[in-house]
Amino acid sequence: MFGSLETTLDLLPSFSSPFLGLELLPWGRRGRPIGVPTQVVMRALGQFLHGCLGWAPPWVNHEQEMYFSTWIDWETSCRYPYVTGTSVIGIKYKDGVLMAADTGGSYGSTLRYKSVERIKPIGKHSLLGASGEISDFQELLRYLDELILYDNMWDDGNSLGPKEIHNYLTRVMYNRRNKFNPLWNSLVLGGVKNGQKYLGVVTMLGAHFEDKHVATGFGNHLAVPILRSEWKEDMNFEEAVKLLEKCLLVLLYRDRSSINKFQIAKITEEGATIYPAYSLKTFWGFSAFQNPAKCAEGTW
Amino acid sequence: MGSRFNPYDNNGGTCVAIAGTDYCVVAADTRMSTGYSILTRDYSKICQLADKCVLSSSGFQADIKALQKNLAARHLLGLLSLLSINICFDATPMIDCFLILLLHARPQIYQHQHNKQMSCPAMAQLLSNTLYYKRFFPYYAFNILGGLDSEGKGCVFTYDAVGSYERVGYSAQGTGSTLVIPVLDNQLKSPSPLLLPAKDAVTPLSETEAVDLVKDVFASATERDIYTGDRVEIVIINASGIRREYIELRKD
Repeated sequence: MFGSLETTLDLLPSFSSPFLGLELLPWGRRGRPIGVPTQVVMRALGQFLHGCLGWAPPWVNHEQEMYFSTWIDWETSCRYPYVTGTSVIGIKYKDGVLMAADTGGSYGSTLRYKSVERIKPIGKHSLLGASGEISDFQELLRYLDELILYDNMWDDGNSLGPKEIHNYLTRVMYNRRNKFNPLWNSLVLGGVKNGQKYLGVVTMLGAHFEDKHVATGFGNHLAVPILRSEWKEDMNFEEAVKLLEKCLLVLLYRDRSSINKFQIAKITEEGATIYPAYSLKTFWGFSAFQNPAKCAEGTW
Repeated sequence: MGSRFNPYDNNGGTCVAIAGTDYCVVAADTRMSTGYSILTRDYSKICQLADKCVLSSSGFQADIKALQKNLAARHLLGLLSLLSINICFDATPMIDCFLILLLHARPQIYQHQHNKQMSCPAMAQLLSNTLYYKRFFPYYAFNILGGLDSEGKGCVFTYDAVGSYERVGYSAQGTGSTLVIPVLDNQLKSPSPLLLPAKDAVTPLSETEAVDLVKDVFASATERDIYTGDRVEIVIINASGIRREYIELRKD
């Protein structure tokens, strides 16, 4: 839509200007206004120079450029997510980082897909888990594949660690929000490199942080309080999985868009392992489940 | 029609700074929130921009980070790559001219141009310009810049999101600022900026008194502001360098 110069010109504000905002060189040498074609050429030249040299000739009106330096794409600026995944949980443990998520993909309140893998290995040292729009996550995986591939082509023995990947993700997410076209995800990135464990989150708007245990979406409400009281430094694998399963079970009971099919993944110095999906044993015999109105008169 | 995408969030937090004759205290809590949820209890809002200049900001974390990166690149902090400036000037004069043109077009990197750390008042002007550059899609960042000026006197600069700024003796910004400012006003009455001849805005307190005051105002703000809490990070800048202190706050 904003591709051609003609349509760009149509969008210039019409205030006070007979030249559609094109007063680059308002007066020619003979005291007459220069023609519109000349202005268009000069403006394009200025933009070209500005684009490739970062330097603009003096006739470029920076104040006016400023309005257009951020292109707001109105067609995509009121997007909303279609198929979404719910919470992802990540914790540090003795040997690295563990991550857990269910494999559901919801279409609004419909459970549309039942085996979407939302935790993926990235490069040699990282795991990425995503909640939110599934298609945006898959696009992000394509970006990351390309990033890792191009990094590999240097063939210099270096590899991108979790910190670098996390930073890359923050830049992608923030860049897309600046274009009013966000990737609708909350991302959890975990990894180990050179004995350093790393666990971080990036939100849809590009806000980011690190912590020893994290959870997105509903998980931030329901799993984080459990993690805060029961997580310990240097838990072994079994303890850590048990803690994750406790959180997943609470989410299963209370988050209606979660499903009973979970994946747990670990990343250690040896690399990433994503375990096959499995179910947890549920118990619905709690009296509050069987007779929810018992202690709350007037409800149904 | 759905509502329009909102590119901003407020991640909360309170920042306070106090300038004295030979010190500056800059403090901020370490809670990061969104809506009614806490994202993390341990996120530092204070960023050291130069030897004697720190920036403390609350608002939208992603914007704040972008702002900090921008300022760091202009000033060239620590390990940012040493570009290829030395190579440039070995080249032939023709190429030389072209490269000078190129260099002028790029953001000038202060330490390469001047071979020294930026002073706090200089950084204050740079921050103002950087904020105003995004006047029509602002950084949602409420900043306090604190440090020592070139005479070694404490200085505090306080900003709005689009770059208006003022040198003051003390200031507070962020979600708890409405609770903190009246207390600081009461304790540190600064001389009116309208006085002629102008009087110094620095506070009469000693360094330890100022640090204690900061601890008290944070403990108080935490009682009533849900976005303030967990921990205060206090940075003290004086002639002998930079020192950090932490104290715990309510976690609820």
